[in-house]
Amino acid sequence: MALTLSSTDSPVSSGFDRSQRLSISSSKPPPLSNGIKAPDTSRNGHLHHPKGLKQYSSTLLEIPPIQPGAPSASSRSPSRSPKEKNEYNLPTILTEGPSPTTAFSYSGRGTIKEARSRRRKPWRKLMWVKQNFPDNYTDATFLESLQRNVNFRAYDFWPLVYDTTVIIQHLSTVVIFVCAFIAISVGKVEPAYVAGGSTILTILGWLIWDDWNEEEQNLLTKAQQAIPSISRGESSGEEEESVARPKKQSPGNLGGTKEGQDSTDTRIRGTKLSTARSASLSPKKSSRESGLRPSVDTALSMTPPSNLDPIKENGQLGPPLARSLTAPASSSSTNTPTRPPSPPPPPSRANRRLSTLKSALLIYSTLLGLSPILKSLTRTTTSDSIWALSSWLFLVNLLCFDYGLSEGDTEVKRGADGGVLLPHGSLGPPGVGNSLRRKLPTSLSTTTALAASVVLASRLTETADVFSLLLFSIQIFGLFPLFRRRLRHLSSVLHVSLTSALILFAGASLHYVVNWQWSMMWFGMVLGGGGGAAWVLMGMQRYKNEIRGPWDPARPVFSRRQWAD
Amino acid sequence: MSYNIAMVSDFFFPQPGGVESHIYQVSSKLVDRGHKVVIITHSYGDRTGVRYLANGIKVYYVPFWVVYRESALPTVFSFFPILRQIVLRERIDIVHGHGSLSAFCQEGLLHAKTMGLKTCFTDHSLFGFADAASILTNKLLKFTLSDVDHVICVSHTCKENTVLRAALDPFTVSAIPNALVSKDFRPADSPPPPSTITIVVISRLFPNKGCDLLVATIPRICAQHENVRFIIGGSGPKAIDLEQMIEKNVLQDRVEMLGPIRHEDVRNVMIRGQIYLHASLTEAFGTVIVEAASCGLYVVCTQVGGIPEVLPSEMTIFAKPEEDDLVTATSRAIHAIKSGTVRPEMFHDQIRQMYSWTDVAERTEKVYDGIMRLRSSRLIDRLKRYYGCGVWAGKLFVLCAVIDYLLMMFLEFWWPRRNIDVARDWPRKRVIRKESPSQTDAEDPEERNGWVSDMQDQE
Repeated sequence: MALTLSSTDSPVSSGFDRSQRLSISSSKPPPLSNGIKAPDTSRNGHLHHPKGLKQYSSTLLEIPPIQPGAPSASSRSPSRSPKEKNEYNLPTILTEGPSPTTAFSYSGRGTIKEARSRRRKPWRKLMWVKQNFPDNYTDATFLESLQRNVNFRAYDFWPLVYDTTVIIQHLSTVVIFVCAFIAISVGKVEPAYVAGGSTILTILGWLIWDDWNEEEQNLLTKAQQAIPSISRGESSGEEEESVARPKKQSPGNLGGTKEGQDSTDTRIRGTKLSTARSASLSPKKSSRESGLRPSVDTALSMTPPSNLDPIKENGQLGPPLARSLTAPASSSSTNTPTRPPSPPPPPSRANRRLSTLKSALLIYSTLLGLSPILKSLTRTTTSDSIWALSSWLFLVNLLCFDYGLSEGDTEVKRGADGGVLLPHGSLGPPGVGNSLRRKLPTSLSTTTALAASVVLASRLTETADVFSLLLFSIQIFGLFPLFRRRLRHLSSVLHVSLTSALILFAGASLHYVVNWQWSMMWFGMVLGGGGGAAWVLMGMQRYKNEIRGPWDPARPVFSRRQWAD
Repeated sequence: MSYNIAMVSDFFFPQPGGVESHIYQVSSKLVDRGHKVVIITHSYGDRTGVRYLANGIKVYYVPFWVVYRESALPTVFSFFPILRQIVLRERIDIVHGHGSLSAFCQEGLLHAKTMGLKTCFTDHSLFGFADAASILTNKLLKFTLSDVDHVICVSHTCKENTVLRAALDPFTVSAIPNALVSKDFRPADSPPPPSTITIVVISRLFPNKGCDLLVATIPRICAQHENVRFIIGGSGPKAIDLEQMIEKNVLQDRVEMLGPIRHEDVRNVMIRGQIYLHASLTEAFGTVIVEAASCGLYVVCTQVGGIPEVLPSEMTIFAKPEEDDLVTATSRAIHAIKSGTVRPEMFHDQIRQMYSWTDVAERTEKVYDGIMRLRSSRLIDRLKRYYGCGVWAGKLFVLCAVIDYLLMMFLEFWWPRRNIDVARDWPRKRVIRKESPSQTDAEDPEERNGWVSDMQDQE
């Protein structure tokens, strides 16, 4: 069967091999889809590809001109030269049923359009219907639903650099700590200076932190006064929280509030009771669930506010505060005293300060008692192993640290939306180390850092040295990250200035402890890591080629957020 | 014109599954059409050597090391000697591979091409482009398929996917659906009473089958409708989630979990219900929904993958893969069944017109006709194609192809063709090639349903 190929003068060249096809079909879908979507071309059923895909048009051989009985042919050979096509028989894949019999030299749109119009029924993308097309028919709609780089977002340079500051901050703290260790161990710096200086800074930081807490509280209460319904929705979440911790909650209060709700609105009784019941089984889950259940929120909004005042006061001032305070103290044992036993009086500022002081003292004295033990804990290990071990531990710390860009962003967004949305983060005030305690990697990173400092401490000779180093490490690895994170969410200017201060301080301490070459190396690394990496990432972005289509597993959408987590 | 065809795949009887039954049914129908079919697969347990299935289909169970989920270890060359023996003994013209995850299939296609045979490949599943497993498979597929003569996909979506994955020319890819033995999926003689609506779910309980959606929707449907019961068949890691859902919502008397179901029992389970719920997240073809419709069930399914192509809209209600939409769609189906606006018992005859293995075999035969007319390509052309597969991969593939060629030369020298016995053929059937549209399965007197016990090789 011969094919009158007018494609010999078409741009199909003999050297068109598979690789070109590959590059065309994979890297240039936009012209393809554009071409297809253009109305006139799709009506013609002709694959019109403006640039590179003309080759396909030459293969749009469906109807061999001579054989009337065999309705259509398919050529599989853009990879073969036209000469070959003329010489050898091309494969035909026969279709069933009648088909247009007139010969046509396929030479572009016109004839194919004719052929298509003769076929009454257009091709449909269906398997169950027997269609008058060959099985290998490729319609103009082929790959129409292909999507490329759906979530593409071009990076800008400065935002990228800004994002790297989080990493650089953490790197600097590690560098500062290592420098402090070296300085203490070689006796360049009196250990008391290190511990004392860092303690002063920590106290300063804590004062600022406390101030933020106060502001947040004011904002919260204002928001609640302004929009009672939301505050109630929040309070319901908090009430569940208090259910989740039954032993800290006085039972009478819990029962009382629930009674009040039940009497006010019968509709919510069922849900309420069921959540209470399931709360006893799985407290954490139910609290989340009910906090996010819209029906409960709306139902609650109908109840008069007076009923809920006590819960609000207790629920929303108590737990978040307790959390925000215990988080820096990095000890959950202090949770109990901060929590007022009776709901009405909100914990005063002094009260909170007192509790923080308590936990700080506790840690301080524990550390003091432990220092001699920790000093000799890994004494027998050789120094080589200690260096290797601590390097690895710091590496793990760096890798596992919760830089928390994405989460931080959502939190910032919430905060930026104003106080109205603030209560939605009813699981805790925004920006506080709430996620920090939920996720394993963060605690892993903190633990490894502390372990590294314990291991390093065994190389020191004096107990006072060990104590200062460990105190410093707790402050710099346990508390400082929380402060940094919160600062980043509050003010980008302060964040950047803190970063620069840290970088400079790390460089200076390197210069002081080691030598200026290391300091230069550090600055070079910061520049390369911040600017260079961002630049490389932006350069690489043009190679991004993400393909999506109907073949991808669908992402199920659930109406309750417990599944989305 | 009749051909000697070798179906090569890792997946075959005694393992149950869609690919396996596809191979068997197509082979059986091809034998009916006068071709000779041998099936080459790896050994299953003590099932090694040559066996015969019904219709004179010869199965070679090649001893091979199985690594994961019945897939053979992907060694590039080690399959060649025995494949060459089989191919020469059986005088094979066409090697037809099935399933892109099958190492046997990929190797078989490569070696067959080296030996100058015609090759065909059927893809049964969809793959993404993002995860590591898909990327590796796609690269390998690009290698083997860059030289394959024709590719068959089970749906148009599957075709799009395969064309993208293996960088193929879309005109070398045909879309030929799966089918079903409609005789095995008759509706119930007496349909279940409409007072209680029973919703059937039969699927492997894996995350990609949408079990999370089921867990979310079933309690809501049960809460909204009084007389609705569920029957869930199948097993898998997500079964525990469903059981937890039942216990949490106290639905023990309304949701029945049957555990794993053999393929021949599927019909008996299906006819107990009026609605079939299919919440899969990805599906190349979805044979099970065709089976459900054939059993006279109204189908509610998620609109993913190739599913929208499979059934006409009067038999199905499509839902987005979202919890709310699935609940709404199921409710609509329940109302439709209750009010009698759909007649699911009529579906069976329509399905019988739409899908039959005879038709599939006929269309596959047309593909064979096409590729047999192709000129087998020279080695240098093949190498050119392999070279275009990628910067590094291309060179690697060329190396593999060259070594494969040298290996064939060595085998020719070491084990010359003339010393290989030619196997005696099973008596061929009279060729019944009709120009008319296909007979349906139920009318076929030669119909064999399912697997028939195999006989030992008599040679």
